[in-house]
Amino acid sequence: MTRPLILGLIGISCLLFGSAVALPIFTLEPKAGEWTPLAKIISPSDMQVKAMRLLQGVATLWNEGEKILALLIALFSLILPTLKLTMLWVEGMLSGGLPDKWIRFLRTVSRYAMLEVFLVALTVLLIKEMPGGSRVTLQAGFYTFSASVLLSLMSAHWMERINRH
Amino acid sequence: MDTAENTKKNPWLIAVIPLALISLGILISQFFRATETPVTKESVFSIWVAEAEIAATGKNNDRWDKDRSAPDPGALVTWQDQVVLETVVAKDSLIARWDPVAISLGDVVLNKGGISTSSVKRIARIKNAREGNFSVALFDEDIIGRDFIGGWNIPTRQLRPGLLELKSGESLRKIVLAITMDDNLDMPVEVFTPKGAVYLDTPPKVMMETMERWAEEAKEEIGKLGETVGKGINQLGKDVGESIGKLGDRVGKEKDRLKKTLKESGEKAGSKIRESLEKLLPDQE
Repeated sequence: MTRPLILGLIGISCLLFGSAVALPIFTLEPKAGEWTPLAKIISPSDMQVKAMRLLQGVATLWNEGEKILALLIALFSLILPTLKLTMLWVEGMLSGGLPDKWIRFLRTVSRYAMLEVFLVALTVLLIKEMPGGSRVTLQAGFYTFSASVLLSLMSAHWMERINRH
Repeated sequence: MDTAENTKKNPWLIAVIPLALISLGILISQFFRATETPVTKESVFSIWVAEAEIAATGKNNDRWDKDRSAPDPGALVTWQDQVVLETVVAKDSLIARWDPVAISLGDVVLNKGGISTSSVKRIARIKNAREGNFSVALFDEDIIGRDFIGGWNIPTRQLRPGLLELKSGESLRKIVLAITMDDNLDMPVEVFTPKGAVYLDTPPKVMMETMERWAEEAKEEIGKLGETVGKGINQLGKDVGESIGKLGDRVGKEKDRLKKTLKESGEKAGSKIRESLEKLLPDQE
């Protein structure tokens, strides 16, 4: 694996991550059992299929006063992955010239990289069987996020191997 | 690349590239999001009148209602010379709002879960067409029909999901049409003003015909009301006449009964007096 190829993978990972924060992660289709048609008539907005997006979700939580939760999600799903990708790119461009303290930081950040995917998967698993036949479906955002995390993990691994040699 | 070469590179400048790529990713996803429901020639829009604002006075500064109450506006949407939506009348409103769904509590109770969504939707469906217009107008309902408040003629090619807002300095100050696709009844957020819309001072032909129909209906209603009132008065007169007649009969009968009673009482009293006198004076016979 050559350094330009790794840089290319990091670039793709960045693009995928950018898409993931704006694309829907999963959609929630509310149902009310046999009363679904009536509920759709009485309260159409509540029965509409809802798409959950990372950026939008953080903004909604912040506006609803759930500031700590909004900050936590923003930290783990927006700030840390961005920092990780940026530092990987800088490391690749500087050919291992990144200071040690930044390398240590990069390793620490990498441990939490899969956390978001794990949380989303867990949430989907928990709410998969909802009353009234409501359904949760994973969307493009989940897959682009997962792909971005996997690519960044692979890039970090190969980068370390190149640097050791 | 060696260490000396690296020192010349600014890490902060290098860090801008992944950030730019992430931003590009966001932009690309926005592009995909925008094309989720593309507007084509075959697109069918669901339209309902969300809000209308009416001037405090009509033409020539006339009040809408004689009793100084606000107008009772109802809206009409026409397309291809057909009425495609007639809203309910909002009583006493200078700012009126309508919902895309009209359902009564009775419907809910009586049709447990069995109401058809199409039967309660109060929306117009208009197809996206390059040529042609559709019209929307407001009318003030009163006892003898409905007066035209104002309206707009809008090119159909200007239709797109969102809140179509039109403002004027005329009687119909503002009108907001909610436009969605695929029968989605969620209130759109984005507000836009269409190009080429023309304010209507007089209703179009099809609306005139509808106004005539309303006037006919009002006339019929008034006629029925007049008939009912007339019948009522006749019945009342008849009832009063009958009652007076019955009362006369009853008074006559009572008079006769009284006479008879008086006569009988007189006769009885006479005979009693006679009997008493006979007992007192038996020898005088």
